[in-house]
Amino acid sequence: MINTIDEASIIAWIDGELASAEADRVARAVAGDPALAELAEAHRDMRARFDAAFATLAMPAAAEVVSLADVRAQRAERARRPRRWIPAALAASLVGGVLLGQLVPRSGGISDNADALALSPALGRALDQQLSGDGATVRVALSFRDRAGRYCRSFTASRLSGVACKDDGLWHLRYGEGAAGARTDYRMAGSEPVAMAAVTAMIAGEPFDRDQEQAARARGWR
Amino acid sequence: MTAFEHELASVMPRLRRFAHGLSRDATDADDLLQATAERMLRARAQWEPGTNFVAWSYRIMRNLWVDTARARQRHTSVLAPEEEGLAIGMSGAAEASVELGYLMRAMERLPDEQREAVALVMIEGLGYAEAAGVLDIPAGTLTSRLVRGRQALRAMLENAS
Repeated sequence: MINTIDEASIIAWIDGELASAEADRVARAVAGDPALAELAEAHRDMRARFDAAFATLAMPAAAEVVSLADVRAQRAERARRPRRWIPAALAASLVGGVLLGQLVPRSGGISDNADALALSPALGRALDQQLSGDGATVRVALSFRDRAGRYCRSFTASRLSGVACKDDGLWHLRYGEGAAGARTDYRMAGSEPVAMAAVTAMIAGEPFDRDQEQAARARGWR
Repeated sequence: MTAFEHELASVMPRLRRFAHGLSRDATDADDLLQATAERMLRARAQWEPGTNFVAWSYRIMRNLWVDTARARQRHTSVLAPEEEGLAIGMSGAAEASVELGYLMRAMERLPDEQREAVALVMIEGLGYAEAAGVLDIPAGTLTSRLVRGRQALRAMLENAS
C-alpha cells in the first residue's frame, strides 16, 4: 500500500487538489496505515502553522498616513543608507502612504496641512462627539488606547471604514478600507473581521466601556 | 475610486502576506510590497478589466522579487552568523511575529523556485493550476517544486523542535 501512495499524493490530498476517486484512495490508505497517517498529520499541521502565522499579515498595515511626496523623499533618503537602518514600522508606513492615497475619497478628506492626509472635518466631528453605537452616517464601534497611549476609534462611514487615532489634536487614519459607493447595510466597524484584526494589533488593554468613552470625550480625546 | 484603485486596495493585504512568504524579513517584505504597489500603479494601463487582477498582481510581485534575487544572494552571503539563527523579536514584537520570523527564515532556506511555489500554494492558498499560471510553468513542474519544498520545510521544522 505504501508504495502506491507517495508524499506528493498526500500533500495534494491535503491541498484539496485530488479528484474524488483519487482522494478516496488516499484517504483509505491513510486510514489504514499509521505511517501514512503520521505523514499526513505532519503536513496538515505544517500548513495550519503557516496559515496561522501568516494570516495576520493579510490585513492592511496599520500604518500612519503619509503623503506621497514624503514617501518619495524617504525612499530617496533610504537608497543612500544601509538598508537595515530603516525600521520595519517606517517601511510599513510607506506602504500606507500609497494605499491610503488611493483609498481616501476625492471629496473631503483634506486636512489644513497640505502635506498630510487627515480625515474630513465631518468625520473628525463624528469621532470627537459620537459614542459607540450611536446611529448616524458615521458609526463608531469601538474606542481604545493604542500602545503609544493615543485614543483610537474604529468607525464605518459611507465610503471609508477603518481605525483613526487622535494625535496633535487631529484624527489620523491608522487603518482604512475603501467602500465602493454608498453602502446600504452599515455594519459596525468593529465587527468586521479585518478592522477587528487591526484593532487587535493596535490596542493596549481593553476597549472602553461607556463611562470611559464619555470621560475621554469630555477631555477631547487628549 | 476607480475600479483599478478598488482592486489594488483590496489585493494589498494578500500581497503583503505573499511578500512575507518570499522575503527574508519584514523590512524586505515591506520594500517589496511598496515596489509592487508602485509598479502596479505605473502599469495600470496594462491591466484589462475583467481579467484576473489577483493573478496579475502576484505575477508583478514575483517578477520584482526575481529581479532582486542576485542582490539578495549577495546580501545573504555576507550576513553575520548570528543573524541566521532564531532571533527574538524586537521591542514590542508579539509572539506571533516571533513565530512568523521563524517560519520566514525556514522559507528563506528553500531554493527560490521552491519558495515561490510554497508561498503561492501553502500560504496564499492558490490551486495548483492557478499557481502554475502565475509562475508560467507546467503543472507538473509546480507540483514537484512544491513537494520538494514542503518536504524540506517539514524536515527543518521537525529537526528544530
